[in-house]
Amino acid sequence: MSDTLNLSRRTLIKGAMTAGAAGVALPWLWRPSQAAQTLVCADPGGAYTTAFKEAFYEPFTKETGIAVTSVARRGYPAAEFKAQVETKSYNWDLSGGISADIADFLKKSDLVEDLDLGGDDVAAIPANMKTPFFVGNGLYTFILAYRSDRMKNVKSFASLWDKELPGGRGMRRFARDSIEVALRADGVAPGDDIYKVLSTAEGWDRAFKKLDEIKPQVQVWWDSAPQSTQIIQTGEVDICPMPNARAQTAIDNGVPVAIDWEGGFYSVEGWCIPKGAPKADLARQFVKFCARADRQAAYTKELSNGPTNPGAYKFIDEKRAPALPSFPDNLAKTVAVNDAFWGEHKAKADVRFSEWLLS
Amino acid sequence: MSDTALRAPLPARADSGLRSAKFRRLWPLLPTSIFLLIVFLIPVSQLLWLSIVDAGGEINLDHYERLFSTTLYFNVLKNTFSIALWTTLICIVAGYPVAYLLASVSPASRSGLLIWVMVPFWTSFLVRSFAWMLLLGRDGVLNQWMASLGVIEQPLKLMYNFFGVMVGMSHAMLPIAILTMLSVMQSINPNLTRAASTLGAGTSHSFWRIYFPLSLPGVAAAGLLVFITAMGFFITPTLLGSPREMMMAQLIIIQIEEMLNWGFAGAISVMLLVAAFSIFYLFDRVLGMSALTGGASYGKSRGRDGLLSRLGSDIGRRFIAGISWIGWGIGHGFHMLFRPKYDRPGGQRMTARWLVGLAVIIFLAVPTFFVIPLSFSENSFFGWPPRGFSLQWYEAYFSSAIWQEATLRSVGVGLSTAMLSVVLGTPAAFFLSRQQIAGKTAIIAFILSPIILPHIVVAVALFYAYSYVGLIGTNIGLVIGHTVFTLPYVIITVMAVLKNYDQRLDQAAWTLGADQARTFRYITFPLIRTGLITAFLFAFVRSFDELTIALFVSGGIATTLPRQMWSEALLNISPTLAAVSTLMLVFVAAIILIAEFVGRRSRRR
Repeated sequence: MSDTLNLSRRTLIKGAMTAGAAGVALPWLWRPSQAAQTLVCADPGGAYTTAFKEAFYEPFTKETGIAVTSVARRGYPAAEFKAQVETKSYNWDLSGGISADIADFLKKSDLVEDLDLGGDDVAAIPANMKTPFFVGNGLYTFILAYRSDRMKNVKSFASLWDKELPGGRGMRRFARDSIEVALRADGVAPGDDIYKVLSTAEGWDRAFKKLDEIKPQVQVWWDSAPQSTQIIQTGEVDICPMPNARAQTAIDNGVPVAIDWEGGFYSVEGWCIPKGAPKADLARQFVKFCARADRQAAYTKELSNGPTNPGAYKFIDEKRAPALPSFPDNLAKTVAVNDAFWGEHKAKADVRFSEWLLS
Repeated sequence: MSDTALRAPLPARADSGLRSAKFRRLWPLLPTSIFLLIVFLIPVSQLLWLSIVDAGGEINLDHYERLFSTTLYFNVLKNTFSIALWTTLICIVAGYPVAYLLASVSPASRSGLLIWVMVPFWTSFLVRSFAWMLLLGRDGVLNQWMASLGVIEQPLKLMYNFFGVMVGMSHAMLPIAILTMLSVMQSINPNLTRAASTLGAGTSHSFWRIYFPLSLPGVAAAGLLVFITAMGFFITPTLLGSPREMMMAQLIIIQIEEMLNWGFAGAISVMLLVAAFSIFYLFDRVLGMSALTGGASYGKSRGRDGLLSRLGSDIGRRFIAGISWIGWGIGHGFHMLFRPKYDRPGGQRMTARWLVGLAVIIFLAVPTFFVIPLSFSENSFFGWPPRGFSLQWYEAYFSSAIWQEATLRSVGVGLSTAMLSVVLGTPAAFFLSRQQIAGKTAIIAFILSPIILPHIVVAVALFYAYSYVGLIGTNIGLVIGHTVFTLPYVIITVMAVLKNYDQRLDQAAWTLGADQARTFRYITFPLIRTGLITAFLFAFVRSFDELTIALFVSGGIATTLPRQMWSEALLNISPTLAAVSTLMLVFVAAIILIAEFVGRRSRRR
């Protein structure tokens, strides 16, 4: 018989196996990883963790003595909410960075606690950015981003369809955003008119007919957030709708990218507490703290999401402010997404959109 | 090949009156079965059960009606299978020559080459995909290079299509295919080929008629592992493909996470499982799981075999024989045309092997050549070419306790997982490759099913199961969860190696007075060592790169390396990921080289 791999790998594997056995035996394997006297807050991770730590977690600890630990959660936390609430095994006490539509959805499934909306700070937040179970702390807007070095005369989402404009197109692989963009490009006014059109079957056909026109032109259907930054940065596409913060990251990286706010649509993201969380009271206190103008201002340093408390702009650098979605000039050009409408139609829209993509 | 009758130590029709004998025969299967029953079958069945009951607990098939009310699910299922199938074909065809090369070079060269073959294992799937984007993009390195050479005028579309998906998928899967085939090739007795030569067979003749058929268990095992692993992949197709390359896993994840419609997610999962099992069944009937599970007698021994299955296995045998003959014919023809003289061992044939092998190895290593320079870039994003020189990304890693703890935890969990999988899986592999029992194919299908389902299905199911026993947020819970996915790799790999194991060696040892333990220690273990090492490695790597279970089950504060990387990559792919991947490569290469050095010294002594 030929020698098997060789002696060296036996040595290697012996060492590894010994270490493995030791690993199994070590008590650290049994130690639950949750500490007792802290508030555990889930966030989407990455730049969110950095921004939240500086603006919310650490200042809260300084003021109250309660340590806040952050953990990364999945992008769509609904399954985590459901599993935790149903089993009463709480990995975290609250979660930030939750979109208002997901919050509504969680409420419908009875998975969230009510919040404490008292106090001046929460009161300063506009009524459409909070509900009894959700307090928004940031706005993010779906805008049109393009390479300013390669594209001229970009006017609005309609420019994506403009055959006169050369360059690669990107779109988001997501039913809601693609349909909203298509109808805008087809001349429907942003806001209520969109949902009026979509109240009929013909309206849906109209949106998909418009999408048919652009389908052959689309180079990339991006799916994950970092991908949208990457494709505009590396020049894979020249024009592409994406969240404003993704385009801003490319701009901050020194890439010639411009943002067109006209016709953009924004969503609110904020805090929710899983139903029955043992430290819900502490979490409510934390949510109130995060509504403060100065805290919200601090959080925009790392993330180009817009504060919901208008007072925050007093604390934000003048150069930074125009890049944020809730900056008055930008806000005036954009409208809110109708979360209730999309909540109701999401399942149908997703299937039809996926079928359309495959056809 | 000829000793199939001697392989089964106990006759197929054992005396059914002896209960204890039956138990003694079955016990090797028990650890794996009990483990999978408790941590996979029961929790996942509870989740899948939701697909056939409504809120009131009544049986209700609405979810299944919905599956067939649109063409979406069927089309995506077709997509999933076609992507998995093409990936498998590419990996086998491209991987076989590499495995063959590795099996025929000196141990020292082998260690060196293995470092490169395993490179994709140590770079996170995210880093790999983004590295390919830099290479294959419209303004990517490959297009720029070809344009500057004047080969092309317009940039070629190399990704966001099927081609891009195949590049990414085969890059990720080739190491699995190569190592599985290699572990079987190394168990082939080289004297057989020599004997053939002595009897007058030319090199191509002895390869195609002797070596190739003996290496087939490796091909079958590699094909099976790549196919089911590819079926569950969805991140690579999403990042490098177009929406046309949609995978079933994505649809299941959307139902679980975005819609909280676990019943419907269960229905899609059942559809995927049923389809996968059907393919598996066909594979077994036509090509024969016997390629993997020992003995062609398997098919014959069962009286109730229908026409279909006899026809199937007949086709299968002819198919394999056909490949051998065709391969020999081509080789022989080639030989007649170009090389009229006798082969010299180590001559041009070896050169050809090196050329093909190196081409594939370069393909495996290429993304790394981009990742390493990026880790020293001053840019804060993944862009080519890197600008300036900076150690800030390494500093970010070494100054962060979170990164280092995550690394340590991942290594610890990975080693424990690999250990547990090998301990549980090896007896099961022995059983499955040697015993003749009815329903063996069904048992193998069951063992493989955790890989077929997207991880999130198992993750959610385990969360509920763990909540009863307080395992949420523990490392042991994570190890158990990962073992569900790594067991199939261990069992299939060890089975493939055992296929060529000559049991007469055991009998010889017994005759000479060795007891079972000594026989295992001195005869069996050394012979199947390669398979065990490969199995251990696969299990470690799977665990080391696993994200979903880590997110759900270890939910709390403790993070793992993939989780930390994924979180870092949430909004922007920063060069920190490149730095971490580079560190991993250096670390693993160092271990292999040191082991090689130590090994060489001990050999010399």
